[in-house]
Amino acid sequence: MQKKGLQGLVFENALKKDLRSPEYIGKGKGKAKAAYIEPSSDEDEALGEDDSSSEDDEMEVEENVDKEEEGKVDGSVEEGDREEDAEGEREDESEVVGETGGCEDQVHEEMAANGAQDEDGKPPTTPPSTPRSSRHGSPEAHPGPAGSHQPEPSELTWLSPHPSPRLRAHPSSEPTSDRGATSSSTPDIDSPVANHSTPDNMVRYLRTLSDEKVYVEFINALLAVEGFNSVCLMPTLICVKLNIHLLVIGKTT
Amino acid sequence: MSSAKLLDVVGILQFLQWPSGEKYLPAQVHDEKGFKNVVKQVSKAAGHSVTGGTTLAFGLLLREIHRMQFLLGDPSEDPPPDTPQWVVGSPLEMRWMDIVFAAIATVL
Repeated sequence: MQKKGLQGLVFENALKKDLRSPEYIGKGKGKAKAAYIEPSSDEDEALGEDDSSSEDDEMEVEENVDKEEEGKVDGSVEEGDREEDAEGEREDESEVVGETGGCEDQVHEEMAANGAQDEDGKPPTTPPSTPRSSRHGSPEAHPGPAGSHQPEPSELTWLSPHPSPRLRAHPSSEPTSDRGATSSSTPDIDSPVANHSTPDNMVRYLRTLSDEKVYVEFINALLAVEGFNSVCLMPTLICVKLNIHLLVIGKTT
Repeated sequence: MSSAKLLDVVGILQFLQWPSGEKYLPAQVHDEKGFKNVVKQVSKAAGHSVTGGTTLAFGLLLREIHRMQFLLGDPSEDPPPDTPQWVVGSPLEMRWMDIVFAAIATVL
């Protein structure tokens, strides 16, 4: 046995352990450690008591090797536990990533359904590790139809609204001189320009300017020079009275 | 009577012509010296012939004097908001009508 060396003993012992308990074959080192049947103290005592036989020597050597191997196995098992824990964490992470990936897909589907996905096709800025409940709980996380894209502060500076044409054409921005011009350009109803459309209107307007005797004679002179029948420009009642007076005067004369 | 005769405003100041759209005459009329100068220019343009332009000019001058006297029903009340400042403080009086009457007499 000693010729085989320590490594050969270890190999054989390992084979024996694998054959001895087939339940833990292929179930990992940690479970193998749990399922490992340690040699009973009776066997140790028996081995310790009977040292004469070669088999006992062999068994003792094997036991020593087992102890050494057990220590190695324990260490390796601890390392395996760490590795398993690391693998488990990786699996958990992959599961979480898978779940969040599913959430991303769902969010993308929702955004596509709402028609609010970014034009650039960028994914939402919400980190995928954010819990779904917290994302859906906050109103900002919902992709709104109008404000789905949350612009950054730098974007807000260059996304400032353009001045509307209505604001540019505000009446208050116009100079006051123009307003005065517009008001002055509007003819007054008593102005000459508003009363010179026809000769009748012009004569009526001239008569409304003043009823002073001198001025009335001046108007009559104007009308007499041109042979204009000024009587017909008078109001109808005055014309009727004048005609009656003329008739009376004619009859009396 | 033809409208051309009524529209004859040769030699008449622009604010006394038919195309004028102002409600009140300018500030130069609301001054005694300026008023006399305006009346002199109108009578000079009229000469010895009565035209529609001169009739309109004399009539506007007379109306302006009359307005200044009866613009406010109560002297303590405020004038209308569109009233020019020179109209509010105008020195035109009824006696200035005699200047216009004298000019009309010269034309006739």
